[in-house]
Amino acid sequence: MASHDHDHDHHHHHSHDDGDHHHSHHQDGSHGGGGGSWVGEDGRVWHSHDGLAPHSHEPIYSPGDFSKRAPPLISRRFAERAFTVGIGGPVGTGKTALMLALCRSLREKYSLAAVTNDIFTKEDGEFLIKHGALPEERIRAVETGGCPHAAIREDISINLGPLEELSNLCKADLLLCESGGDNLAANFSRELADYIIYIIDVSGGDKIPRKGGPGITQADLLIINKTDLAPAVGADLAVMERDALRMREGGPFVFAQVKHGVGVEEIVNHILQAWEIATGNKRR
Amino acid sequence: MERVMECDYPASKKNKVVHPMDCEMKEEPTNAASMNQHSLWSQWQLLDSILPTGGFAHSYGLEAAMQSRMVNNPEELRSFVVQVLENTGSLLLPFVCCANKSPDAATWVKLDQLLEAMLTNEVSRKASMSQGSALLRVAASVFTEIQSLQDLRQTFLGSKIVSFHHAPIFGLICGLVGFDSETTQRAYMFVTMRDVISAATRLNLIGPLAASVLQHQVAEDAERMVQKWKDRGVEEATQTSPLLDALQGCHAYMFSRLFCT
Repeated sequence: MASHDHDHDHHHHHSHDDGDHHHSHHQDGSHGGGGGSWVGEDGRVWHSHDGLAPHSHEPIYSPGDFSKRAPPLISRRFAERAFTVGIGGPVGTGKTALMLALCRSLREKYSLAAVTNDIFTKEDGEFLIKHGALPEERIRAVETGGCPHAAIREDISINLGPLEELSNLCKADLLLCESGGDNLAANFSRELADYIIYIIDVSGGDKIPRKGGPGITQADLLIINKTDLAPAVGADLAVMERDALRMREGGPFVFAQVKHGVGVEEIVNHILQAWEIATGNKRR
Repeated sequence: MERVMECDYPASKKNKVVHPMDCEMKEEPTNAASMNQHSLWSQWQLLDSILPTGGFAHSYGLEAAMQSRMVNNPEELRSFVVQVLENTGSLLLPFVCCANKSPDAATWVKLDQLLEAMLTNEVSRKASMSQGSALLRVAASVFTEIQSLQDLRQTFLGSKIVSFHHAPIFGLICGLVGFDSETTQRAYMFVTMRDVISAATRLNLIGPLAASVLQHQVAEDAERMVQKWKDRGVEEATQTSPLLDALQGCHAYMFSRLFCT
């Protein structure tokens, strides 16, 4: 308390002191109960309400920028392994449902195959088979030894193997690789995925896009799924849209309800566009 | 356990199916010391767990052994690790050794086919294939100065006659990079031990610090295995832990699992 008092005095005696000092005084002051906001030392707008500690809703610096995400590999040979779409995102946000939706929309015109990284059961792979996403021989489930991130990032070999095999076996045009469920720090290596999709849902809270992290900021496409649940969980889609655009420097994102087919066509368009550019093929 | 069989082995180490040759070095060593220093860096890289060969997805049968209540605590884990090492020494070291001594395509194909015929459970057969092909993939991209690695991969990728099993590939690569035979065989035991213990920490059988202690303690056993099983021909290769082999074969039947094998 002594130092606070000192601060206070200091402020009064030098009322035209520099701005930083002034603001830090406010921050230390009585902002516990009432509203109001102030600019903190870090330049962000802080406020406090409902008895919460002072906090800011401005974007936080996050590892990775959209514009600086890994570029396509020049040495990539699609004859060895077809164009691969990586689908990442936290557990339960709809990765497997998206796999199913993509298979359904693409399988008529393109030869597809899929690899899923289940965390500890073959459920995802079996879900796809049960729902007839693709013929069974075009789907592989791979366990990741409790390290789903390692399998898409620092040691992708357990995914590369099956993907290459399926690619040759099915003469695939497109391969889908589903991650085993990630935290926000995980992202696909470009050596594995030519097109990276990161999928989150509204029920994680509307603060998720703002939190950033390589998954959010460096995916080629961000999907915000289950928008129909937004009213139920009190998520503000406008906030999510604003933060997603800001964190991704305007990079593309899609609001979707994958289970109900909402937004799927838009997602497919993004994928095919990237596929056309990378492979030089024309969509069918 | 299963130590009974070891007395069947003749003491002779001479009767190999392949003739050891000197390792071919592609680069002219300017002097032995600098070559040796260069080789150390390659050696450490090959043995580092960051090398992307997919080892982290395999438990060497530990997960199956745990779910079938064969391994329940750190003490049993220790005995499991020792048995895995014994089995690796008796079954796989001869393949590592022979591939290392004659790192050429013809020998390698023969060794790969023989091992394919000798691996009795489907689970470990698949683990060996996926790690072997991943290792060759990495080595061919990393050691660009060794043309024969790329040639080998190009020639045999997608061919039905080889399976890319791990032990012969490991021996072959170490041979081409220029490791001596004993280092190669010890290295093979090391990566096996490292991967089992790493799997054990992820299965929460043992804490990470205790695991490091265990690794240090087991090193003595591992060295004993190296001395016991090194420099043997593949006709001596044999399975010493049939129970573990059977257990590992059950891996595919478990509903819930972290590891591929």
